[in-house]
Amino acid sequence: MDDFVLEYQYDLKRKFNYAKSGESKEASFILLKAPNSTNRKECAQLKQAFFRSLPEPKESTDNKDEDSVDIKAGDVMVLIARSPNVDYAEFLEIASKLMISNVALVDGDTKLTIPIMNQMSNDDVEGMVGEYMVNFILASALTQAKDS
Amino acid sequence: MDQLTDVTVIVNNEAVAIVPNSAAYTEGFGEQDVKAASVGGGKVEQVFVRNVETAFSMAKFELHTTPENIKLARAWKANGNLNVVQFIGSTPGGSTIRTFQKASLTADYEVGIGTDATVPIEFKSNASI
Repeated sequence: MDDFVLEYQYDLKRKFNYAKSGESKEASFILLKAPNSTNRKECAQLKQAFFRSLPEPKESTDNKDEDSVDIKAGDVMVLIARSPNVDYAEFLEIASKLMISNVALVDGDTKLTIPIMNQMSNDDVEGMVGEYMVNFILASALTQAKDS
Repeated sequence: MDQLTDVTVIVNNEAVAIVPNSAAYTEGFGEQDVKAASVGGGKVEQVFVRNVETAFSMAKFELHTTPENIKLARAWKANGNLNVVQFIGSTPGGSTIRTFQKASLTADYEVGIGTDATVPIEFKSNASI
């Protein structure tokens, strides 16, 4: 079964204006697309940041079903932000660089650029990055972990 | 009060690096005039006239002549009147943002070649907002 997601729609909490076809339009959502090999450096850095933020695994005698863990975008961002092993500001800079490399489209068709990102609320930037981590970068890592 | 000496120029959601001190714009209110209407006895009243034919904005700046900038200018020209230009300027006293919608490069812009040569860009657009 193919577990890889190709697209994810992130609905904006706070709308903003951007230029489209000669007019200012109000953005509703950001369409996130799966990364490809041209994004491998940023993906690797973000994946490594997540794994560095994980606590050390503890020995446990419980027979819990660990396959049923549901990771949410907000949880991922809190985990990384709280980690002393990860520079959260640097993490967001790398994530922003990935977002503007044609993997994020405003309203599904306009490339996300730095001037557009500068209009997004901080909550939306972090939310968007969190969803990207969960749906694309970590999805791949979790699939590999399950297979191994 | 501080003079506004530089602006961030954004065209179609991308920031553009311009030649310093080259940006200028018009608000797009158009030409206005006052005419006299005689009420007799040597007295006149004012008739205020707006020429709506001129109610468009102009936004201009210069680009250094580089292959990247030449490519940008060609794309804006090919885009017809589907460009959006923004000027964003700020000083400690405040900020000014002007958006020019339906902007087009109406003139056949000149690409200067030389040490100090530039590409002068002039957009005509709907009145600024």
